[in-house]
Order: sequence, then structure tokens, then C-alpha cells
Amino acid sequence: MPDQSGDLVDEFDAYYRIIDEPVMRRIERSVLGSDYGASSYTTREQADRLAGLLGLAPGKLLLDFGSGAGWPGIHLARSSGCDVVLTDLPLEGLRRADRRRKVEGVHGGVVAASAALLPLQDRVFDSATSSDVLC
Amino acid sequence: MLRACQRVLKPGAPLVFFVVAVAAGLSARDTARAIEAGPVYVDAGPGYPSLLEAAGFVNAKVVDVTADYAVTLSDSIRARNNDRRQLEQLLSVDEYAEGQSSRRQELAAIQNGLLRRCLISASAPDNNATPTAGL
Repeated sequence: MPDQSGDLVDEFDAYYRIIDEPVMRRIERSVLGSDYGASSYTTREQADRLAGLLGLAPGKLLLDFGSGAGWPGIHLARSSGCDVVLTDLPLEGLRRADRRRKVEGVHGGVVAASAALLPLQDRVFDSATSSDVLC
Repeated sequence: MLRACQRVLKPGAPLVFFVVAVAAGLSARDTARAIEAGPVYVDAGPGYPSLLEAAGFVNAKVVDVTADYAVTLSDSIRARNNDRRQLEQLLSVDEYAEGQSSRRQELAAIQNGLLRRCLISASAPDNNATPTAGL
């Protein structure tokens, strides 16, 4: 999530409310190779490149901050067997991410929080990632 | 944000992320054009290696993926053109047109060297302690 302003959160929430429409799914599949309701430019090929650089494996815990609806964090966890915690501010995106996480059988959870604050314990994550979030 | 991320990572853990940024070395006028044309989360800061270092990360590496960014955006414009009628019904005629205009403006900015996208990686220090200065 690039900004904490209410307008931007509302804008992203409005986007997440239409991501399940067939036309939106079709476009995302053709452009990115994903169907999570991605709000970044990360393609499936790039997501798989991330997996290697992050050293993901079963038993590891990944943080995806500014996760939106779960792309690519959930995909990375599912394909590697690691667990994932997803954080973001737009609740609509997080709800979809959590539903998708459960459908995919991925362990972890979602946290509604700004990445600048991260109400999480110190030194618990084995890796962290984000896609097109303003750091 | 980077400091918060460093705090929750285990010592030596990797942080790998994509970011859209204003190209380095632009005039003030071109920087303003890049920000105007870029996504809402475009970064116009001093550059990630120095930000990462200030946040306590080590071994920062930057890989330019701007060419892929241009391809993805071009694909997105084309896919939306192909589904124009359905998108106009889902959004509105005006919202569809505004979105496509923004994407074309962003693509032009990439092609003119104003915007870039990078894959950035770094590691939390082996003795990961919360930094006292920086971000």
C-alpha cells in the first residue's frame, strides 16, 4: 500500500471489490499470469524469481507487506510450502487475501496495518517481500 | 517502513522487493513529469541502496527490470482494449477512458526514460538490532 491516506485506501478497496469479475480475472491472467486481483506489475515469472531469492521452504515464515489481495505472497507460500503473513491497509483486499489463503491451504494470517508500523514481534520472519509498495 | 521491516526479520534474513521509481539524475521538470505519469506509489526518494543502509540492511543489490515493466504495461493496455465494452459496463465509459489514458501516459514516461522499475534485494544484518537512526 503506497500511502496511508483514506482516499487511496478507498481507491484500492473499490478496485478489490471488482477483482472477482470475469473480465478482470481474464485480463489479469493474460497480463500477469495470476488471478489473485493483483495491484502490482509482478508477473508469475517474476514471482517465481522472488521465490528463489527469498530462500523459501517449508517451515519458513514469509512477510508480504502491502500485500493487497495476496499476490504474490500466497502464491509464493503455496508453491514453496512456507507460511505467510500478509499486511496492508485496505480491508477489502485483506479479506480476499485471507479467503484465498485458506482456500489454498496456506498457513499464516493477515494483519491490517501500515508497513511503517508492523505490529509484529521482533525477529520472527525468515524473509520479507513486497511488490510496488512505496518503501 | 524499511526500519520496521528490518526489526521483524531474523538476523541475516533476506528482503526482496519490486519498486517503481523516478529515474535518477532527472531535472526538476522531468522529475515532476515522472511523478505525474507514474503510479500513485512511485518513489522519488534518494535511492534504495542508501535507504536500506540507513535502515540497517546490508548487501543491497538493485536489478533494473524496466524493460519488463514496459512490456507488462503495454500488455495491460492491449488487454483492456480487447475487453473495452465489458470494462465500460463494469466501470463507466469515463473511468475506462481515464484509466487507459493514465496507462498510456505511464508507458510514455517509461519509454522516455523517466520511470524505472527495479528488483531490490538486501539482508538484515547478522546481529540484527533495531537501528537508531535513518528512516
